[in-house]
Amino acid sequence: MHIPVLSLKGVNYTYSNGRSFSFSDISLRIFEKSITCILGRNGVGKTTLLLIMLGFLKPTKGTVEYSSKLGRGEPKSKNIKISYLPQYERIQEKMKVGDYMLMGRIPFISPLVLPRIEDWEIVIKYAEMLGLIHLLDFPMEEISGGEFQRVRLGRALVQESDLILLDEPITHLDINAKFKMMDLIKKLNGLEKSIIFSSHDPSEALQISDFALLIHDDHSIHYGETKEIVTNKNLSRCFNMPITIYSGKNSYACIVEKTT
Amino acid sequence: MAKKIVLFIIVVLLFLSACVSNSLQDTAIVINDAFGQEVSFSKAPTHIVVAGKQTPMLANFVYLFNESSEKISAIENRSQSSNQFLSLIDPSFPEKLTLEKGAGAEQISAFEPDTVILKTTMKEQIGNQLNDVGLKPVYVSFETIDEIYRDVRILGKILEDRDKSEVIINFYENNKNTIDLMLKDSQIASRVLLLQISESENNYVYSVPSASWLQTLMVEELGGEPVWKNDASAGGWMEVNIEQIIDWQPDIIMVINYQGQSPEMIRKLTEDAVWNQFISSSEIELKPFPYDFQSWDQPDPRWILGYASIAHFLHPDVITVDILSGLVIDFYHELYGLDLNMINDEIISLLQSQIE
Amino acid sequence: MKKTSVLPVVLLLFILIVFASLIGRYQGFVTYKELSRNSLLQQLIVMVRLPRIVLSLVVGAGLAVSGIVMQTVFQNSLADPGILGISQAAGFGASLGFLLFPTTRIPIQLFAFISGMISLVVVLRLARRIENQNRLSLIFAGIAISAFFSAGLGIVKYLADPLDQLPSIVFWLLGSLSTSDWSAVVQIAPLSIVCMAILYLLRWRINAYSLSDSVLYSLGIDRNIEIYLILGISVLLTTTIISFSGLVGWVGLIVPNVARLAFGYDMRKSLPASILIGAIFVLFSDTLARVLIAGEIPLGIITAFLGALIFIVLILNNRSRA
Repeated sequence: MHIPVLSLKGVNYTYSNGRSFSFSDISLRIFEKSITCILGRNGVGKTTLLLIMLGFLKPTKGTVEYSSKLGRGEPKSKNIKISYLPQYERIQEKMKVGDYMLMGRIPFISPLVLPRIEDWEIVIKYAEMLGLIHLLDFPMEEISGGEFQRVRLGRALVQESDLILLDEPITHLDINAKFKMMDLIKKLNGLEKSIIFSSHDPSEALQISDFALLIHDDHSIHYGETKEIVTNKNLSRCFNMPITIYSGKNSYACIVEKTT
Repeated sequence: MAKKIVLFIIVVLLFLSACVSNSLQDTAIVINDAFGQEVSFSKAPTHIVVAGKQTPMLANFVYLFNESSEKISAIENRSQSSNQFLSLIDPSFPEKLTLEKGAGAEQISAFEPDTVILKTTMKEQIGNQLNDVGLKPVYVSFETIDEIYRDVRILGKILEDRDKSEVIINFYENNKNTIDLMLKDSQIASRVLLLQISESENNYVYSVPSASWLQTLMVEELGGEPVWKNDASAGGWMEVNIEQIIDWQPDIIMVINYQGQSPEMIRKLTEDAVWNQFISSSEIELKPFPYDFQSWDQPDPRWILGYASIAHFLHPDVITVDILSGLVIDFYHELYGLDLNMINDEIISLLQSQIE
Repeated sequence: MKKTSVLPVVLLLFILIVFASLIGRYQGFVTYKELSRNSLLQQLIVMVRLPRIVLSLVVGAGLAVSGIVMQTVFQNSLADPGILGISQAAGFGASLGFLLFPTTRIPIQLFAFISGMISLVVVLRLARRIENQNRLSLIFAGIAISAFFSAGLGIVKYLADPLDQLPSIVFWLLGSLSTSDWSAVVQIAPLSIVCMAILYLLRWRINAYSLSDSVLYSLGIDRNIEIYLILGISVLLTTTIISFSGLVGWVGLIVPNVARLAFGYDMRKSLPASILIGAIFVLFSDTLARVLIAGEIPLGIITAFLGALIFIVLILNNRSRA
């Protein structure tokens, strides 16, 4: 639990379109087989940070390092082990669920050949695990939001990556699906995957994550174990509202105390 | 009361006489152009411009008249070979090439011409705009033999040399009649194909002329059967492929090439396997349509030479090479006033490979 | 989604090829009996019709493959080499190449390719700069670039042909296979087939371009390099064909849409289907072009006419389903 899988050193980022927005020096280490939640208000830069962790965006200053298990940090290499699920993902609506999950095998298939039987068998294995077998032949446009999220996780599993980055995976789901999703994330973690996901609902962090990263409005951060970092005080600062955490038997809720 | 009536009558008479004298002044020259429209000039034009796509051929007609040298101010610069020829006739010709190719009404009006000579096909493109600017275009056509006679007369009127226009027309009529007479007893109706072969980017494009053009009419006039006539388009040249050429079953193909390469085209054809087989299996004759500065198939003063050439190709024993050569010499001597030496040096030499 | 079998299409293609070789302006449609005793007809078929048939198959398949690749990469079913201005740029390049080097054919293809690549890069850059980037920005950029190169083509032709006597410009802007012979086949077909083969092998990979850029990155695809490679091969394919045939339009636009409608969106099926359907479409069109009337009808006119008809059917079909 203490081996870093990803570390940021002095990372700064400024948008190129003039918005003088930047991360102040961020240095932190994400550990293997952990679940980390990135919390912050909308627009504070959660997506940007995830993309920097992916390597898709290069920091304007500082470095991102990956453990050797992830390949040499360049997803171009054969051992690509990072999966990414964007908040709004573009898909071809007529594409079948099975074919979409098969996309996860791209790192393993040379461009000039077609997927092999083994690749398809891997898809079936994870489809079974996620309860998606009956959907494999359906076009993407015909499945529900919750099913879509499971399908995307299926793609990540098929990619056999060790690190999965999720951009607000739970935010748009209904209560039922929310809890199912959180269970799923824990299950993936059980498969020894490291998971980083972003959210603007702190109760999700409290529910399932080991570590939390709070990004405040002034772009300073708090990072550490969830139980230490996610406190009333920190949350109130992060979201600019007085927040109180209530805990039930197995769950958490964060309430804003209205001050008149 | 009587005084008023007399006064009134005098005023009316004066007015009428003014009108009459005005119109007398206005109608120094009245021309019925190729559209049948009246164009009138108060005095004969002395600054004439020739423009439009068919300028080379029109210029060739205009230069049949000696007055051209003085009266033509500008000619659209369209054809190297035509320019070369006209420079032989008039050494000051190059100075007239001040109108660039594709010139529109604006550039033309800059020359302040008294009139502009245009082919009928140029009405929409240039003619109407010239009218709008107040210039008077005169349209000519030259697309049938009758039109040629008519339009030569039009030019004669404009250039104030009616005598020369009659000389020209007599030359044409006499020679045509002579040829027709000589062919009176020749009954063979050959299936004739006029084929333009142009080379473009290492490919050959075959096309046939419009059914209503001069070339087609000349073939018919001489008793030939123009095999493409029924299929031809009404517009311009129609591109065809070799299968269609074979399907028309011509007896004789007269090859036209506007770069003066018709003998060369024929030579290249005979090197092609399919043409070879076609020619030998069907016993077809391939003849190069002569070209000296201008292809003789065009609506150009040389049309009579084209006429004679077609006659020669169809009946070589009646209209012999000697007769044809003689006609060429007469043509340039009588109509263009070139002396015999010049004709030999500049023109006959060009025709060596074309008329055997 | 319909599951159409590919066999009837292959059969149709084969029948069309046989039919096309037996029909022409010379003697119309011939029977075997006539064929066996007329050696001139045999010559015509072997030396004139067959190379033209081969070239129309190559043109049809090539333009269709180019179209489907572009439509999938750009996720835009209106993309095709003509709309993006690549065809026009190829025409401009080819005619410029001929103006400068009138005797050999190689510079023509080379200039066409370079022009095509330049226009591709410009269109992509231009589209990116358009505010409110959406599906249409690419099309707008393409319209601008295609108009630019069309004008350029007109200028080159004007300079090259002062006597205005060559039919070339009409041929270029409307497309024609009337000058097909075996030497043209040798110069055009091998390179085109190689390009098509490469794109055929890449057909599953190209499906990935429907995904978001960040996801592609996570899957190890360096989008910039790979996309330029794939598009580069498409452009090479298109420009090689156009440098001979002139601007034949609508094939790259229509055939992929038809192929996808019949065979689904997976490139594993729809790309090979495009090859077959494209070949059929152009072979059929060119046969009409050389047989319908005595004169040669420019191929582009027929493909535009048929293409537009099919386009209307596709639109109506789309609306009734939506």
